[in-house]
Amino acid sequence: MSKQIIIDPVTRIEGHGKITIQLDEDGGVKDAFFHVTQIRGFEKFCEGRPFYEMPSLMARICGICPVSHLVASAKACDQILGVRIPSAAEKLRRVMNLAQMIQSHALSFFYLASPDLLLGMDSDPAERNIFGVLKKNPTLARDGVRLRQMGQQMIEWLAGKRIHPSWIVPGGVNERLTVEKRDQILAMIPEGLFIAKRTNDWFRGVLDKFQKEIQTFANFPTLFMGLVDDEGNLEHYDGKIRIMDASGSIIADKLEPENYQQYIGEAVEPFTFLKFPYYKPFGYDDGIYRVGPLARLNIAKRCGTETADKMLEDFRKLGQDVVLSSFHYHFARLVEIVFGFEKIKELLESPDILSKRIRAYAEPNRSEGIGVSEAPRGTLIHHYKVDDNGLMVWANLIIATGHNNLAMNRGVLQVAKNYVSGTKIPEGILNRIEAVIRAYDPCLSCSTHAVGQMPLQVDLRSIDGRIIDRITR
Amino acid sequence: MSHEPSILVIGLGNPLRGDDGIGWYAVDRISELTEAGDIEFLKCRELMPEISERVSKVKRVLFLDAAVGTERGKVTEKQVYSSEEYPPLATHHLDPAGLLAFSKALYGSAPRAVVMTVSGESFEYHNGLSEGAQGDARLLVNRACEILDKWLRGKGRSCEDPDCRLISFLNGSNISPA
Repeated sequence: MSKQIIIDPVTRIEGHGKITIQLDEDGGVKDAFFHVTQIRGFEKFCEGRPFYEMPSLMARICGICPVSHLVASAKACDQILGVRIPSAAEKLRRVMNLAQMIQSHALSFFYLASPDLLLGMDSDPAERNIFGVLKKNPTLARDGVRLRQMGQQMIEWLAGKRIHPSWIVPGGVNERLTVEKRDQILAMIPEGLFIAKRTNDWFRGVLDKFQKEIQTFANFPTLFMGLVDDEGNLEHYDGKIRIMDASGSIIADKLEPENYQQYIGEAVEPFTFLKFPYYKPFGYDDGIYRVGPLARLNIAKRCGTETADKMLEDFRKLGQDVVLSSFHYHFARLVEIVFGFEKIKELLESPDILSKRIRAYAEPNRSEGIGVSEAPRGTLIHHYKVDDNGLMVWANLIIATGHNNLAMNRGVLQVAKNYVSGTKIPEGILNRIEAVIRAYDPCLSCSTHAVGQMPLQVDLRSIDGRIIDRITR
Repeated sequence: MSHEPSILVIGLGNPLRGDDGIGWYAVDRISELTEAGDIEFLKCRELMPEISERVSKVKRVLFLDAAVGTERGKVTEKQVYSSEEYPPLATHHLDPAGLLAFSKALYGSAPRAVVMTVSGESFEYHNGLSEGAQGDARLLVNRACEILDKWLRGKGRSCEDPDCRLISFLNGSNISPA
């Protein structure tokens, strides 16, 4: 008799989801599904709003990565205006985007993932949290809080507030950078780099303990997609789309992000509110690709900053042609944290960073705008259409986490097949299943464009739906 | 005379949601009455672990916030202690006890703390306090000043100090919150 194992909700991720594992007659894993149980409606309720409101509206999709939506949305609005923003404005947007990268990656690595990494997947759930980390390695916990604080502080200095800032606007930014703020941010860089490197040293030391997880955490061939700059290097704000296969071959390059509909399709499945983007030329399912830190480091030739490039060399050694295991998203985040600090320093030392020319003004000159950037979790697409008065008539958002949906589902299945057997469900195995989702650092509030506390409950169901067993956290 | 702050006053809430901005209002009014010195002010929409280092460096913390459904015309005060149980994940928010727990766990110090609230009337999308809440907000400011005065006097402060205006206000001078 077939059975189901349900994990609901998945813990230590942003947003809400549940996992169903379908067992076959013999108790082996037959299939697995990652259900995203939220629906937001942003693409619909923004219709009728003036396009220039969109950055502020879209930032409210998420309280952790609002800057990402500000950037992509503002870029879409720039296209509707038909403007090219001033050089200083682009640099300042880049600085803020990187500051968010730092705080978001710090959140993911230290708050969400480090309990597993430090304490082990089989440790007591009551201890497997940030306080457990504090007890065992207080330096690691303090480092995580400090890194996140730094990223958020940079955002606050630039934009006036940490969450849902309004500084990035259509045409540029709405306030120039002062000498004082620039110097405050620059003063943080050495400490940030020191902490990031210390964390990297610690993490490299514990990797050996997770060899089985490395082998089984969504370790399978997929395509990888992301932005690169003109030289094929790591890029988070602009550039062109590159797609690479699992052997390291670039199968599509210099793709215009605005033409995303030509190469990205979106499928819908009945068991989840999250859509399934796929690479069109390969079809649904075969067109599975991953985005985010792992993908960005796979497709980039170089990071372009000193320490990050050294870490990139270490990263490449984790795989053969490319790094396939999703477990290594964690290491990729550390590389990007280091890159973030180094690149912010470089941008803030630009001669024109204090310029008063920070915004281009115009009336709507186009009826459509598409903004694409790299959010902490991957490629983010905002696509708007407006009427002659500049009022929104249509919007389509493809969120970073959405791009990874096929890979997350396949990853859950792979982990389940390796760790679940019979009818006994040890806690550590459940956490491994969740941990594979966590490796992608999914932002489910964003990706279903949140909320409601659900008790953690795992149901074992027979094929006719009867609950055979239940585990509650 | 300058001092490292020994008191942290934290105004909590969202000023874009009407009376949820009471905590911020109170911080703005109180901070007009004192200059630097022993008191540090912070306004935040939610408590986060990243604030815990600042908390750990002071001896006392005063949290100011709006409440829902409590008695009108009254300031509710409560001592708050570091939580014994692990606070929520804290990626979205902490309560004062959880913040103190982080402060203690991360930096070895959880200061003495008080939470003061008054009842809010309207929490709709609005910038500014409702008419009904304005009086209670002033009550909150007055009571907060009394507590701060007590804490400062406990440190042997005098009217020669930068905090004099705060103490003068409490003694019935012409200085009053806006």
